[in-house]
Amino acid sequence: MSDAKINTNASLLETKELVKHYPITGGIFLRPVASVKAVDGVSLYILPGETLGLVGESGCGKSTLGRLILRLEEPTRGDIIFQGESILGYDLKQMRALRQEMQIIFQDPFSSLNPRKNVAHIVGEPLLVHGMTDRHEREARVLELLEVVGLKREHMRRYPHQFSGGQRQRIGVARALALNPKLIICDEAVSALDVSIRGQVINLLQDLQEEFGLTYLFISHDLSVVEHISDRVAVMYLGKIVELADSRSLYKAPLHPYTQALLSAAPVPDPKWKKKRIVLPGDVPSPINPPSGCRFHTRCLYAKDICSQQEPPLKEVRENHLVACPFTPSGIEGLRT
Amino acid sequence: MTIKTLLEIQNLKTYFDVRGGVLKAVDNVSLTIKSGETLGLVGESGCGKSVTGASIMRLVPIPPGRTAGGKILFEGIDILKLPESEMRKVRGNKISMIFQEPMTSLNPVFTVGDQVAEVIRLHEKLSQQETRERVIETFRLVRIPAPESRIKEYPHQMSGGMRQRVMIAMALACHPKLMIADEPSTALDVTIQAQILDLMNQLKEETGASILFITHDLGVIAEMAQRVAVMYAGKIMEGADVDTLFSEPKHPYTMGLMSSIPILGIGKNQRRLSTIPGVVPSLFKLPKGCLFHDRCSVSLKECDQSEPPMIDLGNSHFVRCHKYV
Amino acid sequence: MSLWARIASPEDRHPFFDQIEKLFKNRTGLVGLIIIIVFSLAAIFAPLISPHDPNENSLYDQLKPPVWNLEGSTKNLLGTDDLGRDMLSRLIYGARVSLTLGIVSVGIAFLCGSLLGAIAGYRKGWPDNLIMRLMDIILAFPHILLAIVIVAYLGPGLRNAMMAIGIINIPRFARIVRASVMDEYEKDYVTAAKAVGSSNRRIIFNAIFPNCLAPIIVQASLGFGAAILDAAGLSFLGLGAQPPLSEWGAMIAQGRAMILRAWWVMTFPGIAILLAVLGFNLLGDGLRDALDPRLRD
Repeated sequence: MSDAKINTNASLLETKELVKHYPITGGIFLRPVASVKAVDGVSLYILPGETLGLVGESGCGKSTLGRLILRLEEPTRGDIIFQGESILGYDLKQMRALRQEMQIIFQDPFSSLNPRKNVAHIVGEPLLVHGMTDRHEREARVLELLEVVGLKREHMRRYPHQFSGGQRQRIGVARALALNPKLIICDEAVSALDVSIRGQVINLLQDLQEEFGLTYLFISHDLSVVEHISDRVAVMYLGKIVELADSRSLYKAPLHPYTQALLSAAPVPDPKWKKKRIVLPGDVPSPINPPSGCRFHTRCLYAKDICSQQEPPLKEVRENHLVACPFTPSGIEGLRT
Repeated sequence: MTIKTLLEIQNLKTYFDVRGGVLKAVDNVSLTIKSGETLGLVGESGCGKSVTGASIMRLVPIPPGRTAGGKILFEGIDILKLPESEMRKVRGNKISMIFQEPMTSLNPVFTVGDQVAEVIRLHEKLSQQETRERVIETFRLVRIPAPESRIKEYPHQMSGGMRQRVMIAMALACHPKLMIADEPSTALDVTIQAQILDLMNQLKEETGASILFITHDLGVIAEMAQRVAVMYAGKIMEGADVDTLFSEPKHPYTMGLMSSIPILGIGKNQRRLSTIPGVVPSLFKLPKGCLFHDRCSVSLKECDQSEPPMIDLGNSHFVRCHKYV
Repeated sequence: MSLWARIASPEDRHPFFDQIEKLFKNRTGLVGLIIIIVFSLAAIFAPLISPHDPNENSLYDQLKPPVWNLEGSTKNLLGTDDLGRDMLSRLIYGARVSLTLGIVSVGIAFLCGSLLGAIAGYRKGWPDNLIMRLMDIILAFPHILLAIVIVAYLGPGLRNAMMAIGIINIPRFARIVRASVMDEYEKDYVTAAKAVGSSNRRIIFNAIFPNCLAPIIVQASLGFGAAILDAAGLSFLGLGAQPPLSEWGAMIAQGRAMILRAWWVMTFPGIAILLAVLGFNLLGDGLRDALDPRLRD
């Protein structure tokens, strides 16, 4: 697109116009009558060693995008390129090998661990699946991983229900690290944790990134966490990226009206801070029937006629700052008065 | 103009008798809420804030729960001592509650109009036409557009934000004096949350109701509350005006919470988030002395010996910490 | 999860043992379990505890009443049938037959049903449709009628009866397993297993299946009782156990003609069936209470 300055051959992962539509069947013969346009043409890239944040509200498609990248769901259209090679053509065997390079950490610390297996088994499973059949070797490696995430040897024989939410997330992180992946997708990895535990896990993720040279796609609806941990941030709305910039620029001077509303809506833990809050009218439209033209026009305070007719492309308007809005009103100069 | 005290909780103890022992979910909690004020009750999961709210409404399942002590004075009357028939006249009428998850708090097989009407029917003697009009009026109050047609909808036909508005409508239908809101916006998207919080503030102005706002989100508390109480493992650790609490938190737990939140607006943060080490203790294995001492960075000798008393620091600022004795 | 539901057991053990503990605290389940154990012991130690050979005919002792009757004797505590065979011994050996039958037919139903249900629930799409419609067809037949048809085709005999009963109970298990698998499939740990590269087979059997056992175990217990009833029905009709095998249902059929002059020949096998089925039903109820996921941590 317009990132000509950056050599995308150097990127670890790239998506090209990725689309995922879920068909809805109806009628007696169960023909497809409509589709949920979960992801509708997303192109982005992630450089090795960086953290790309992905924010948006429910239904925007960010979790689906994460799963598409791991090919846990098959895209309807588009391409996914990992380390220069398109992975869509991979057969079962190649996919299996690829799984060692890309992993995922889930949101729900309760359902992401098998309640009937102990920690040693849960963290050791990836190793077993990929050929480490010697039990002692596995156990040694599991112990290594547990220590890296801050757990101890005595935790190995325990079951998930005996751990707190924060500890379960750590087990999930250990599992994700087991195969030494290059890319880890954090799908709302800290959203279900208490505030005081969240910080611990965020720090852990950052430490691990430094130590092992990991690359993260950090998906979350929590703006402050995403800002803290990400180098660059993409904002999604109804299946499309509406803004993409480096973290500081996005939060200091958001250009897309949706991003501005999103940032102003986030509650700030400072009672003295009186901001002019932008309260968006109405509800998020359904991804089955997204609005015509610019998807955000139904709720946009600045919408003009052309907005309902033409869909604005994602264009670079400042250095490394892309927006999908032709009118980009002047951004908010800093969020703090 | 004197502001009356609407609700006063004195030394409330709500315990649960379970297989592993006695869970002191709410242990010696005292709070006051004045007319027209929003008191924020903030704490992490398991601290007892939800149980406190449920205790006020006497919705705690008994058994295994029980009120082991204390009084809850609502407009001067101890509602813990009311017979159930009297309490039913209070619930939904004088004190109402808004829950976190609107999908499961609304009955999926009844229309939303029916559900709000039921609240009205339980407490007031109105004709069917009058009830219908009251329902529509309440829907208008919570800014649901086209209320006449929306009262016929079922919960699953509405979005999360709309459903939460319906819940608020149910809570306001009988003009309560106190609304207990238990994480009302946590399950909602940020932009919808902004709408709902805005709405609640407006409604507070319009109806003069007080709100007990229970949440774990410090940002939401900063926006909604005038006074805040911080809970940890069943006890109140600190209580103050919202401005004071955020600018000069005194309890180490409060301070730890505040500094572990990433700050919005300064880009990728180079410094690590400061965190509170350790985990919230299991209510089965509470530490001796101060409940927070094993995670506290400034613990003193007394901290593992005796529980600190609540110290009055003046300016309506209270702390439960040995540092200030 | 609400606070009071989240109270976890502090000990360090597999969740399965917590559930066993709960079972023992449930009185209904315990009674059922005791009844089953008594029957099982009778079945296993039949040669040791049985006073006579169940097939030993005796012309002298035909139709002797039970011991508490005037003409009864301690030689035959529960009396004899028209061929002079000791009722008590026949009942004890009958337990053996019923138990074997229960195990085999529930075993067949469980193995086939679980496999089909797991495939249907995991694959969805056309395998799901195909398998479930097949199950619907089986369920459309009146229960015992289908068993009769199968046995009539295969030929009468205990072995074929066991197969028939197994087959008609397959849909019961298939449905339960399918529902469980579909529930568990949505959970993140399954997605995690996929993300790691586990084969589908491994995911179904190693990861998902252990979490589906609770409703299956309940169903197995209830199914045991139903199987005994079905077998009794088939034997009653002459299609199940063939003489001289002592199977309770066959014994009832035998005793029908003599009900007025020798009530014990028909009544005791009937009571045995009643107790056995009751035992399994009570155990099933107790298990359901103990294993109900809502009560689980």
